[in-house]
Amino acid sequence: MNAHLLLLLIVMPLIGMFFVLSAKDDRTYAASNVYNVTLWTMLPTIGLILYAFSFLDLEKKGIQLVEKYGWLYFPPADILLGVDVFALLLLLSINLAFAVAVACTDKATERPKTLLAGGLMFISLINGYLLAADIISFYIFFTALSAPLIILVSTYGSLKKKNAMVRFSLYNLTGALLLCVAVVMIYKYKAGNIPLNTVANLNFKGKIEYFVWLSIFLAFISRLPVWPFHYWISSINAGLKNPLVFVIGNLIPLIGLYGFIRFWPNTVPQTIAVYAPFFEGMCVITMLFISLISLSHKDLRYKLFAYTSVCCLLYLAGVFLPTGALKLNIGYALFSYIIIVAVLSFLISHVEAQKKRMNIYGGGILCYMPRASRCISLFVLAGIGLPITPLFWNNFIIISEMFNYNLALGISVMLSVFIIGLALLEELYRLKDKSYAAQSCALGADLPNVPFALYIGCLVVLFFSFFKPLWFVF
Amino acid sequence: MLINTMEYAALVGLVGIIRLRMRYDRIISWLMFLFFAFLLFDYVHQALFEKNVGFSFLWNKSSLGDILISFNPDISLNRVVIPLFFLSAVTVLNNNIFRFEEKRSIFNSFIILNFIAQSLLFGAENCVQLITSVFVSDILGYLVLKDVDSSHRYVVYNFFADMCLFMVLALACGKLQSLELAQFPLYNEIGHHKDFVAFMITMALFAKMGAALFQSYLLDISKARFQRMSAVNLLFAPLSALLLFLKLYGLLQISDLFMPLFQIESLLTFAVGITGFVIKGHIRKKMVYLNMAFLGLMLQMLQAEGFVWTPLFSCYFITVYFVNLLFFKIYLYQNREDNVDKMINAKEINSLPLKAVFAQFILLSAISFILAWNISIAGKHIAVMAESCLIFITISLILSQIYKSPHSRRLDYLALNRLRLLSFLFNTFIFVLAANVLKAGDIKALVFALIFCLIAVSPFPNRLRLFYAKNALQGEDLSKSLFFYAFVAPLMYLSRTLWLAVDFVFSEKIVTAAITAVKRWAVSLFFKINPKGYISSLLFIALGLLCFAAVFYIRIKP
Repeated sequence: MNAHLLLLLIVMPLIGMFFVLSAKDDRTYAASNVYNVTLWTMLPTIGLILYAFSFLDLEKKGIQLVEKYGWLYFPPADILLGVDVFALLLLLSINLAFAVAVACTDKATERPKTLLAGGLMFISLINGYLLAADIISFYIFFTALSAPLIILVSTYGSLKKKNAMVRFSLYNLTGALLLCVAVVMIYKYKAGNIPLNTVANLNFKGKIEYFVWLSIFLAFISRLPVWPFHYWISSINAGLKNPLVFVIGNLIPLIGLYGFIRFWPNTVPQTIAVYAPFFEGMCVITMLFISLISLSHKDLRYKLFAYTSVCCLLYLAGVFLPTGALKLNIGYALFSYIIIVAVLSFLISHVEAQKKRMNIYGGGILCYMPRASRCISLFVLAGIGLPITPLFWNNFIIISEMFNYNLALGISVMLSVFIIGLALLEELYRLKDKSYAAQSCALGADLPNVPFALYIGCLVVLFFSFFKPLWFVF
Repeated sequence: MLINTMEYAALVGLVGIIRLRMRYDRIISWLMFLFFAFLLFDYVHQALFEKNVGFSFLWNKSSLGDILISFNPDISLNRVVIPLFFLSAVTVLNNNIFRFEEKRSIFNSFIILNFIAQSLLFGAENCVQLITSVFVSDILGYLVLKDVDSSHRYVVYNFFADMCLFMVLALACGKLQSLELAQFPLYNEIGHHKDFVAFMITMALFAKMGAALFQSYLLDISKARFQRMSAVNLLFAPLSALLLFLKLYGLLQISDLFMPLFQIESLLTFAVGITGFVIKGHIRKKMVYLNMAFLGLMLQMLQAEGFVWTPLFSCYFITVYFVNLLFFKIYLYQNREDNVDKMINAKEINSLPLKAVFAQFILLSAISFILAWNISIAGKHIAVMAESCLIFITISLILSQIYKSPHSRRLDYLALNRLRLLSFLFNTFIFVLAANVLKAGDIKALVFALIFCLIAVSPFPNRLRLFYAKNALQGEDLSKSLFFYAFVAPLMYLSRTLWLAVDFVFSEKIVTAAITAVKRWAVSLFFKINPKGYISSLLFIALGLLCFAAVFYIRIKP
């Protein structure tokens, strides 16, 4: 099994997806069946990821556990899979977040087959994206990721925002097209498929170099909420009422961020690297802008979107720094960030649903739900600086390095982090404000036992990671 | 082993958080106190014989060096840790005696865990341990307050202060390429952004302390219960700020800006504190202002002692804690009356306990005098002495207003139980011991204690009750408006303007609308040039040929 471990990580969710799709279209039984199938697919996948950790040399840098599969004879193309500690950490957190999300999803959701099949497809493809070690498989998974996203967003997104969905599809496909152009040019230049880490050795000349790298850059930017194109992700996310799709929607920026991490800074040639300060500037402007806007926004989903944007761009700014030493710190921080965002997405969806049910449009809703209040408080505080997750000290290291290179960058990043933290805190207090709450107690508004236990479990995982980031590796 | 002391203390702290049934609460809280007191005794015993062995764990590795959790007690560290240990134990004891919490064990837990956080803060040798301890202490303070109304501004102010600290420490570590606090003096040699670093740290610490201009968060805390307010005022964020002034002095002194800023702000804090203490009618607000005055004074004491936590300073800090405790007892024996103006004459209500409290105040005034005297002589800073006397004279004015109140309506007596007697005996024992050790029987101290008594029994202070009737003086503090207009309002305006101008007008109405319009135009153009008919087909073929020609021309172009 060791020889095909990485392939299994991609295939298992796909097998689960086929099982889900084969379930009968029966409202009573199908929902329960597909949830169980999804959960039982995710648990062994997580087990496999943990198993894969035991084969890694944690001190070694670069891709390990390489698997090669023949694909096409003409044009010649092999698929190369490989993983390092950073990618495996991301895999673990995404799969864990998805499993928690599935376990917490209400079984009375509409179209459960579409939802969970789409979710499993997304997990399979994102696993592939994180494991891809050559340019062609990287491109394939990058492009294919648009499919489940478009299916899920068009099924569960707000119908009022038809234009936003068209834009969402358009941006996704444009990004895929741009990466396609870059990959084709690289393939043609080297007359074959090449590993990702050798892209740096390509000696393109003149305009072609700029064209290839600009295409790659724009392809990844298309997945990130960088100003002035941030609007599409926020408008899509605000319309996603289904919590599972909302979790997936909040993972979209991660795709772009991971792309940059794979290509930057070790791979990118010096002629392009000189533009890093410009990219950093763009990140910082977006961070400041989005965090400032979130301050006056009343929508909790927008605040979460702003938080995810600020975090992703903070790590992106860290990636653009001329040092490769921060990669693992970014990995540890992203591990916590993904779990925190997933849990917050669910909690926010729960709060929004209860607000609608109880017709409460001001604040104070958390007065009716002590468990949810506790969970939201803990996760919001964990997200903005409570020292119980690796996010805290890894952010400290990343920002320290930023200050070492550029004072203005460091200050701007800190300002954004402070403002978004403030926005989340203000919203938390508004939700907890007793003066908005009525006297009567609402029954059944609080979190059920299973989600509550799972959220606390997530917090325990994060807490252990705070002391030892790879505590689960024996 | 010292690690055992900290580990056991943490265990004791965690025991209280476990949700046990209410009937076990009493026994658990007393067991917590006994075990904690034993740990204190053990620690002091080891410290006296210098047997304390430190510990150091490798927490994580980073590009800036190893992150260690370390605690290596030496004399300077013990000067801080032992008083904090003692005060935490006293707080736990009083919480058990005066049953003012529904669940005493949880309050005890937070106090004990905070003690560990503060000890690790002062014992920190690297920035990550330092900043982590600060955050943990702040979160514990938030949990102690419990109340949404009173903790809102506490959270915002401390978040601001913590983020500033986070930023400056990240900056210093980044420039020094080291996490070690011992490297901070070298920052002077690098010479980058010295004023910025010092200014940000100073502002952050003053915000954290609730110094003048930042006091509104402390005033909000006055909405919480008395004991929580006192605990947060003295053992949580403001104490962290005091300790951080000492820990980060190496980084602060590199700028010439620091000392003037420090002096002005500490003096202002003292002045605002003492004024508010006299003017405000609400007892808890009074206490907030009194603590502000004490903090202003203690900052000047730190300056006088060269930013070193000396035994005299420890004693003064303990004195301040007991002043709070005595005021709490007055509040309790006045049947939890909030307004000083409505408090009952001491002859009419709980006369004996109130008289006992007054006697303890007299002892404290003598002790405080001798401490301030010694500090001012050692540091050649006579203002410290004067300010301390002024605070205690003001306290005597307020005591006079309470004890000689014109109101004589009898209220219910509090049943005097033996446990409260235990508190009285314990406090008296501590005061007598301190007076003996510090030689408070000195003629100067006795004269001051006499003045304290005379002012308290004189009729003059009751005229100051006029302040309590003036609504303008009893209203909201100006610092709240300052916070709103200087900080919140500009940010909100900027936020809304950006949303309207950029997000809505530019992104939505111009960029997005333009893309949509181009898309529509392209689709409509396609339909227009592609109607059903021969001409349109020919036109399409012609367009294709044109494309071929264009590509051909480009390829053969030299």
